[in-house]
Amino acid sequence: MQNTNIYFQQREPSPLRQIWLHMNANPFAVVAFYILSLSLLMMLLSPLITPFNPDAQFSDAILQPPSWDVSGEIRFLFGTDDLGRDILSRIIAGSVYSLGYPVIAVFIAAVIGVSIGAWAGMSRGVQSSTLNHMLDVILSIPSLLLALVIIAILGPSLINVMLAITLVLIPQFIHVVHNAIYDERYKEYVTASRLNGVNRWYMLTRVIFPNITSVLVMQTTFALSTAILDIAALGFLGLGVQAPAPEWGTMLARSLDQVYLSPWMMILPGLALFLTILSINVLGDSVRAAIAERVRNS
Amino acid sequence: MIRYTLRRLTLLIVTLWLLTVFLFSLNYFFPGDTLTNMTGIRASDSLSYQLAAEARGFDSSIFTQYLRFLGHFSSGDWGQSLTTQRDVFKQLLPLLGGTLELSVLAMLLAMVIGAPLGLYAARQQRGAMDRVVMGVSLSAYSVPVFWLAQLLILLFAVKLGWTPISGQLNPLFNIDVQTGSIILDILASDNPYKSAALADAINHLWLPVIVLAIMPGTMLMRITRNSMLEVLQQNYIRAARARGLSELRILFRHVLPNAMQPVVRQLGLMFSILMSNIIVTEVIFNWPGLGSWLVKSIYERDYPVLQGGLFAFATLILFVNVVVELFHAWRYPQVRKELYAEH
Amino acid sequence: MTILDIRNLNIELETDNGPVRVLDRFNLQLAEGEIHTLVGESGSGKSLLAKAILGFINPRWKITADRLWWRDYDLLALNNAQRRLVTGRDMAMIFQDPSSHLDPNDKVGPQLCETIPSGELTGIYLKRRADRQTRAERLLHRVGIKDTKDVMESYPHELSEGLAQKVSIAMAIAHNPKLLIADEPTTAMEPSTRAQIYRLLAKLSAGQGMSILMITQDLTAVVPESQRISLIYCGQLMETGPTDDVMQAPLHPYTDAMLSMSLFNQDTPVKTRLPTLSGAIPTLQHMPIGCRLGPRCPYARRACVKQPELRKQQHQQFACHYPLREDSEHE
Repeated sequence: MQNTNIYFQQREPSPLRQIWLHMNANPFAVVAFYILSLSLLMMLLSPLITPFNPDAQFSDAILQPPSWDVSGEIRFLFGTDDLGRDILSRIIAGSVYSLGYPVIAVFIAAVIGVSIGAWAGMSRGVQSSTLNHMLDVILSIPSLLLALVIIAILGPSLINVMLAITLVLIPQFIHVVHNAIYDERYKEYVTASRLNGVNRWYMLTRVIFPNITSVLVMQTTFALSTAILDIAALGFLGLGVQAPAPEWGTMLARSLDQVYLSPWMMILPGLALFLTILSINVLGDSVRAAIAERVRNS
Repeated sequence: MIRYTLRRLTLLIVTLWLLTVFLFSLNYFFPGDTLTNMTGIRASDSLSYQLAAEARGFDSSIFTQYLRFLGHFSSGDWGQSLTTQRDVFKQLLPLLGGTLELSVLAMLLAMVIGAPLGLYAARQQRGAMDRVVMGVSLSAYSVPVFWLAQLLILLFAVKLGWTPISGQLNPLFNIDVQTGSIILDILASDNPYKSAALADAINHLWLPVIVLAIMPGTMLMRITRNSMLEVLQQNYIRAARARGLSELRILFRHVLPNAMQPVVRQLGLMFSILMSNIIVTEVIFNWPGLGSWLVKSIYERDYPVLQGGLFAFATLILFVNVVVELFHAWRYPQVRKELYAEH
Repeated sequence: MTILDIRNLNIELETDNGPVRVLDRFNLQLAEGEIHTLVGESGSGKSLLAKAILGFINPRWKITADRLWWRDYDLLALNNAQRRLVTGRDMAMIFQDPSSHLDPNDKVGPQLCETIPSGELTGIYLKRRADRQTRAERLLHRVGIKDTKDVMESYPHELSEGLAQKVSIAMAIAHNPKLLIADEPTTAMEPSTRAQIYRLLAKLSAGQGMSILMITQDLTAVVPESQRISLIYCGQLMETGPTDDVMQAPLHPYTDAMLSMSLFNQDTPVKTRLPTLSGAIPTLQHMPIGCRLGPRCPYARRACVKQPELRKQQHQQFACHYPLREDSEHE
């Protein structure tokens, strides 16, 4: 490439841009990004774009196979279920439950968890390693089990599931942020800025936080896929979002008895769930790789 | 190492104690009568209810109640089921065996498949096989276990008919439940059709084991591959090459042991994920284990059973985690140094 | 007798901005049993040279040379396996952070034992194992470690850097190499430990005729036992020659600058500026053409945009168009 300016200057792209470039270089990450954006868009527009009311029952078209099947109908692109409800509409409407609610739960948990974790990491009192190890041990209990207990206390319903998932995610965020800050706060660069006399708020937001973004990104994607999986698993077990709602896990549970007759009822919602989680994981993975590479190069 | 072990064990005991406090308070949180939640004796059965109330110290302060609860709990009196009126603790042991059988087999399968594939991928770094292995592992890691189970059932049980859809053993074989682990039970029994029963049990067993092994297996694959690549770049490997050691010797003496370190560290996490999956998988395959028992108890609001299942699960996971950590610290001594340096 | 002969060695790295020549027409001759010191600032390519000799070659490097000979072997003509056989047998290397070059999860004893070549052991398995053990202890004794049992039972993280470096030296000399490359072996050590290590290396060289290529950052670290010295700047050889000649009567402006920078002159008046070269070391992407010292050299003239040939004046060799002293009769 010919340089038109005489004084060749090598420009380093900004950190965010570097991550973006790195991700763009990975075709899987780009595909994952589009899939995730598409499903988020689908979720936001779901009341407008569902071809039918997700709860409407077509008594003339019960257990209709998908349209690409010989006996399928183009009216019901993905076929219908055992009550004659359009599966495409239900999948689109279900994204609100299976993607929208987890996003909200993760957001709330992140806000609460990061604040508490940051506070705990910055203050001296809460740094007892025993407490920390204890948190370590308690967090080894899977989130689904804890959510099950909370559901057992509160009873199954949408609100309670949200509550359970949020409550379960908060300690994870606290733990991760606390540990990350704890690891950073005795490094030389932090000591240096402490000696420069910066106040604690500045230290937290400008000095430490930029250095733990990769941890935060990883934890957020991890929490999001956990939340989606757990909400779907609870729905599948019949302990989450209750039956008429088109939640993907609940749809899968319903298909359990129908799997001989109409496998599409099981395959399609599961595929939606799988693609969503996969794209989140791929994105999280490549963002993490990009950040790691940036750190290594600098 | 002794100091470290003692510290870990103390921590385990303290955590278990906290768990009992949590279980005790759960009885108050659950809807319904506290004593019924705790013992499984309904108020309608007034005589035993009175006796239980007395034994549990329900006329005195909450501390006495907790102490009595702890006493009963530690002596194996976990109450009785609200639905079947059977003793929770006695019911639990065979179910624990069933769950352990599934999880141990799945973990073994995951290790046998995951670690070598990870090593293979690391050998072919950035090659086609590496990408394929990593892609497959990331996808398999994202499959919800209940969907995967259904897909495999659809394929192997419904379409191909290779295996029964659910259950543990054909009930015709009439094997006495002793340990709960079906293979051990069959081997211990004196059934005339032992080998047929064993074949049937394995026929029931392999599908859930594969379903369960996929997630930890793919995790293992990724971790092994990444840590292999990491270790291969380390100074001490280059130094070993400079010393003229043979490539094989470097691989087995220096690369593999060090590459296995992050793998060992993650085993606890993998086991937790496996336990979370086992709850769902047991429900799908109708496997008589802790998970399906726990979920059923939630459906039926059978709180004594719920507590028992919860405690068993939590203890199992904590115990495995502590064992893994102890092994890790024993095998990789520089970890201990880091831990001490904290103080 | 010259055992290592390097003529016009080039190493190019592939980077995102095209190839970068990190070692540019480098020359080095090493005689048997001599200690040769290679002085260069960080990033001057001296560690890369060591790696190129030993054959730790990254596929992204392009190595060309008129001659890269080790005794009777043309190293560039050998394939990887043959080359590892030769270098593994005849050469050894010690590094600047010794403890990171020991396997952290293995005790020192077994690591030392496995470097003892099995060809030199005879007898059944148990006897060989015992022999290994005693030989390892003897090696540790030779590098000046007294409580050998203790050290052999330790993990690398339990050793001090000085001790770890002694252990690495013991490993390096386990198979009696002909050449030992010491890449800044004492950077992170205290002066007394540093002196110990240098004395040890000098003794080993004298005792068993082992050549040592000592790589270091500054001229003050050049040991008195060093017979020859080479200065490298940004991948180009500046000057080479017998240590005393070069130190006392440098011919190359760079050597001169290094000497006046590093030797703290007692009769420098108070509050004068310490002598330095102006400017900074250029980054790899922005190497000047010709003599790379050019922009910083106080004597640079127009001709310096062409790379000077290596010239010889008495025992010293240098690459400069305008040396400090022109030897008229030789000219």
